[in-house]
Amino acid sequence: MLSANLVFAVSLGYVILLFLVAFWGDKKARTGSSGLFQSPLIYTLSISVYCTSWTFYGAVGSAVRNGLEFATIYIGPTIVFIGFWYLLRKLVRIGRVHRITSIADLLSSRYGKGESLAVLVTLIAVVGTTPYIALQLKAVTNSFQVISGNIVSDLAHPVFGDPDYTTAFWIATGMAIFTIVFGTRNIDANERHHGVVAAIALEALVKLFALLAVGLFVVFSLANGPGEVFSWAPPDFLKTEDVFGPRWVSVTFLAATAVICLPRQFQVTVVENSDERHLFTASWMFPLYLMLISLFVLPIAIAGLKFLPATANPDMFVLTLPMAMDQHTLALVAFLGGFSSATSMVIVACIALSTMVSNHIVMPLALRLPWVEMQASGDIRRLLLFSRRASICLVLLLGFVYFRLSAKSDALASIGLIAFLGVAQFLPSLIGGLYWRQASAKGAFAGLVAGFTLWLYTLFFPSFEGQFVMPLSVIENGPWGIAQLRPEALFGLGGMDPLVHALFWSLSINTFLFVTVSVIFDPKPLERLQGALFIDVFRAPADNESRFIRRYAASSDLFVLAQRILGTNTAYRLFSDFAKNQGVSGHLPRADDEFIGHLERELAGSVGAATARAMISQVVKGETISLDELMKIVDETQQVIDYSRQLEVKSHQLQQTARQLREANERLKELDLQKDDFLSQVSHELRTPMTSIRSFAQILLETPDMTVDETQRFTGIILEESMRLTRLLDEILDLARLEGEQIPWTLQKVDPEDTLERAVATCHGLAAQAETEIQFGDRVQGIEIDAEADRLRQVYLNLITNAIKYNTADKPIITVRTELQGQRYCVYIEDNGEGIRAEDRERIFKKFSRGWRESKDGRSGTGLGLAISWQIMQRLQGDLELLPQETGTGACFRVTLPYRSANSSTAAE
Amino acid sequence: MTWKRATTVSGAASASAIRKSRDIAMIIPVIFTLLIMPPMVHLFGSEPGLAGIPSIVVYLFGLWILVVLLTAWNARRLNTPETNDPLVMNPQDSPP
Repeated sequence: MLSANLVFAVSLGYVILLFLVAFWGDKKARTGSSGLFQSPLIYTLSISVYCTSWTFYGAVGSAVRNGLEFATIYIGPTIVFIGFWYLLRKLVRIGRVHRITSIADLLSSRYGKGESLAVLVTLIAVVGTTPYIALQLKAVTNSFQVISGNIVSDLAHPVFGDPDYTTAFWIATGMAIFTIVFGTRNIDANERHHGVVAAIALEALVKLFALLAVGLFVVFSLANGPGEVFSWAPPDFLKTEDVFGPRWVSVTFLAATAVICLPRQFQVTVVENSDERHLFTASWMFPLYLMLISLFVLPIAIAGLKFLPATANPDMFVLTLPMAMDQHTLALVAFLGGFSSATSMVIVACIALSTMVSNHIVMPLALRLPWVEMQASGDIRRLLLFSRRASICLVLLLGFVYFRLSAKSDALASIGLIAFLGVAQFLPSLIGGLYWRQASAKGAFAGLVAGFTLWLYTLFFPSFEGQFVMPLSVIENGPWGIAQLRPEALFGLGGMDPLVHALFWSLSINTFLFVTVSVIFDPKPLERLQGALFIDVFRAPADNESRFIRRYAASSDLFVLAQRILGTNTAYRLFSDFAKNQGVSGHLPRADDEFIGHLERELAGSVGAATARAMISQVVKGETISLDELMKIVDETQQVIDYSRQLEVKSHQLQQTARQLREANERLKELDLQKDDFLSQVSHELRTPMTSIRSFAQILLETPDMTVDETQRFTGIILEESMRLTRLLDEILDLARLEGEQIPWTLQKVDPEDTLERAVATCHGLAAQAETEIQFGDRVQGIEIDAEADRLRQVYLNLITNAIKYNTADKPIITVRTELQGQRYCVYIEDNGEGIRAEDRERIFKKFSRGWRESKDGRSGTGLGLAISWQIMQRLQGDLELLPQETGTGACFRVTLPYRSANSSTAAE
Repeated sequence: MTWKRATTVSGAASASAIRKSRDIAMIIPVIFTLLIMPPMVHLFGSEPGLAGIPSIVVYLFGLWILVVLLTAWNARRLNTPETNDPLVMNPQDSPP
């Protein structure tokens, strides 16, 4: 046996080490170099607070009694973690977005931020956890007494006589001090307790190392490998025939539920999570941890049965086996492992419970008391810290008292699974709240009350076997002898394992009431809003809340409130940061809906959603929830329809844009072709006069003895060709201007008949030269059009000169007439020449396309005149067409223009 | 309405890979649960399986290790920037 002093010294040294690690972790976090403490490894190790002393020591005991059943406790959480993508990830995201402080806060926040639901959840959590804490105290005390050997020396007695309450008391005190020092440094639950997490991560390593060490010792030192160990096993040790029954399924389910719902698990998994990505690592590393923890449970149990007396307590095999083999160091390691698993559970459970108790019970009460009307900065913060610390002491005291009262009974041994079922009552409301929009606070309340009551009645009270609240006669015969109400065979459902029985009744009635009441009573607007924000947490950011709630408040009132809770410095920083974001000078931001929502979430991170809302409500005025807006996001089908309609619009727009792009591309290609065409035509057109100029100039240069006549003639040709070149260039420039000009012309009122007459008059000289007669046909009188007179005249001139120049008739006649067709004014210019050949008609308005074979004087024009005229008419919103031609008649061009009104004064003439 | 994170050609390929990984993340726990529940577990008993260890123990722990490896492999594939900041449709930008 080890001396009590040595064990005490080692324990004390270990505790000092834990304090140092926690202190170091806190310091690192404060100086900002907390890289290691925010790693996924530390996160995973902190989740292993799931493995308490009940599993450290108790798993071997359970293996001795029920064979393989112990594995269910670890398989349940394994299922939850390997399926993390669907539930845990959502929980963690919600926890971070809505600054959730505990599971009570989560449920209350989801169901409309009501206080009563939070109080109920807190009560259930306290009732379920206190015996669990007592169990840890008992395990540590027992192990301390066993290893220091001051009770029994022969390990033969399963019962240890009187537990050492003094030891238990000092252990509880030590834990309280640790928790208060490192667990209540700040009130914002979302600011992680780095020190605590560092310490429990170390403890997680110690307990794993201890179990592996004992296991390896058994398998490879006591035996020659696992085969030999299993050959020692008593017949039907694994109980494979019976173990895979309803209990196997039920306990797996309970363990899976517990790893989500236990307050301490919620604390480490959701609240202490600093990075969502850590969950990806924990999803496989935590199952691996659980697998390693359970790997040597069976060998240790078998070896214990073989080497220890039949009366030895199997729940202490992990400790007593090394002692019996005189492996003192190993025994000490095993003791430290058990000590670690107990202390880490108690510390985290105390932090979680104290947060719940102070946020949901103490604070709401304190705020209602008239004498808690302090206005000083940080007063609520001080009150909150005090109530956290008091709650920790209270919870530990409750645990200690519970241990003191029930230490001698066996009631504690089974409390693990009983507590699991207690917190499993949260499951229906939790799952419903995360995935079901209709879930309402009334439903959650009804389900929780019924489930909790049934749990108390069918499992918790009967577990005391008549020593607490429920007398033995009630357990055996039912209250007032009504057999139908027997707690362990409710409504005559007997012959079942009590745990399975209680699980069936409590959870099925809980779920039934939750669903039914939710369906009957619609959720209130705020519940709907919170429900939508929770269910769609991956789609809708929390800031959206401000879209639906309209509130008004004075910034200064909000500041007073914030500094009471957060302290002046934090509040000042929060307000001035937001003011900067809003672009407001000074430190007070505009108190708009967005800011009030932001502030409420910040406060919720300290005092919980319900209290934060209650406090904000005291300051703000005129709170309304915009139902229309709310219905938009609440109604799932509506949401889907909205999204798909938006998508449809988008894709339609995309299609249109694509079509426009395609068209533009086609047009660009066409233009590019035209440009190439034009360039080659221009160079060709320029070449002809250039060639003749060059050759005549060359002749003049090389023939010195040329006659004056010839010189005159050649120079005349050169001059003429240069003029043609100039004309050509002028017209190309003109056309380029017409095509390139973007600015619309300023149009004036013009009398088109007047313009026409002037154009004809201009051509008289040319006509006389060509012996051509210009006749006027029917004329329209007194109308006005919007046009540019010079440009219009240019078109007329071009058409008339063409008609003169290219008219090859013996007696050339040009007829000009005008008429009105509907809203259009038409000018016809017709000649009696041979007309335009059919194959040229198509391209007559294109550049450099001469419609006529040759002019009367044998010279061709530039081929741009008609193209220019056509462009002008387009710019004037009119048109220029070549009318269909009958055989034997000449060409007939029609100019059309829109006209505004008949000029009545001239029409009367 | 804006779709954060424009989907490129490679983005589309990784989106389909992520979808597959999500399905695997759903399938692993379901199949694991079915395999460790009756009636599957009744196929194994106390008779020695591997190296004198009862076959049910070999089955249970073998399955456990397998599922840890599978989840580790799949979690690596899931842990991409896209999945941590999933495709978010921001309703504030949507037309009224």
